[in-house]
Amino acid sequence: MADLPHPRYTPLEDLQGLLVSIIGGGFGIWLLGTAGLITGGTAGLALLVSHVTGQGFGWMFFLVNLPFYIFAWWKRGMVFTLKTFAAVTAVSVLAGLLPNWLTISYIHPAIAAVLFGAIAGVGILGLFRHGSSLGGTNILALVIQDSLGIRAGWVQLAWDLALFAIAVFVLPLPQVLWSLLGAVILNFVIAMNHRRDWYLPG
Amino acid sequence: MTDPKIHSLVEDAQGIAYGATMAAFGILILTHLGLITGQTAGLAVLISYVTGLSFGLVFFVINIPFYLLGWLRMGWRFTLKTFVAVAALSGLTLVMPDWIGFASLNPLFGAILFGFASGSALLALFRHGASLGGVGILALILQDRLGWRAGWVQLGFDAVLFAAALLMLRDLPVIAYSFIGSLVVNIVLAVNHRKDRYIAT
Repeated sequence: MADLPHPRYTPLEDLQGLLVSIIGGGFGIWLLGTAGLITGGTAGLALLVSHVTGQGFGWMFFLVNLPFYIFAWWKRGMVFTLKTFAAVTAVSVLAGLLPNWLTISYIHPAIAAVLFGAIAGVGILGLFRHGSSLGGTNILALVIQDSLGIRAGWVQLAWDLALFAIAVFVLPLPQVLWSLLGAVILNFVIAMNHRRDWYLPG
Repeated sequence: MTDPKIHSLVEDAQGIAYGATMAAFGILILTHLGLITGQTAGLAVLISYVTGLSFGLVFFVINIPFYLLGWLRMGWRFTLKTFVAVAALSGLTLVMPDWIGFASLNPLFGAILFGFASGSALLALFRHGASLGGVGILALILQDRLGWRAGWVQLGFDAVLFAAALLMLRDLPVIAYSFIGSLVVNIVLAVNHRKDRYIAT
């Protein structure tokens, strides 16, 4: 990407991109929590573990991602790894803080799934475009997109399907099905929009 | 589909669906907190507060005269996409309260969340050759003709609208939180709506 004749992001532009994406990611995951849903990726794994153990999502998400940073550093370099660490940490903290600012009186799982898919999908898209990610499977998906040319969205869909197969045995079936809708929308957003031929800088 | 830099129908549809859904969610937050915003939507919110009419109805009606301007200056494709986005937003704001309700919502966080939702909604609509009508159309025309960033043009209109709201609502905290929300919307637009970066049309 370094040889593209287009202006790179300024630090301030990166900062707003990361901030917007972190709010999207954190709020999207919070929606899932309130509606009793899960998702894919490392966030899904963290939600599933947090659901089974009763531990808070924030810490789970932070811990689940730790091993992936080694892989990220090796394949994508220091800047990407630090930006990802910052995004994951900020989303973990935000997910812990959100209940202080926002509580729901009622929510239909369908709207939770749709809003989550759209908001978190665009959040992750923003992170990708600003050279960051939400850790784990995002890193894996980006590495595979860059080396094999398989769209990141499809890679993540495969991981998510495996995770959901496990969830069927742990969670009520309607929750799993609504969660599936959210994950499909999220990955659809990324598969359709994360294209280096459309969006130039970074 | 021959030129990969031109959005296909499905690609436009998902962009407009995102824009309408996120904008409707933004309006849900905004009206729950009793805040206002800028642009045509802000005008509709203010009118709906004062008259007690639903936002969806007011917003839909206000936009009708702007379609002629849109058709003349931006073409039928843009106007049709904008009509679909405005109609979807209007409809969604009428049904969304049945699906989700807030027990508590911090106004500062709500204003920021509104800014994120609406800013990214407008960005998606702009990138897919649509808008949310009225002032959005005017802002797009000015950006294309004079090179003024759409975000800054809308900020000017918002300033006038906010002055009117301050006189009518006489509630300084409401105006202050509303201002923060609109600031986030317009920063997201001003920084990100650049034809040299997002090159697909």
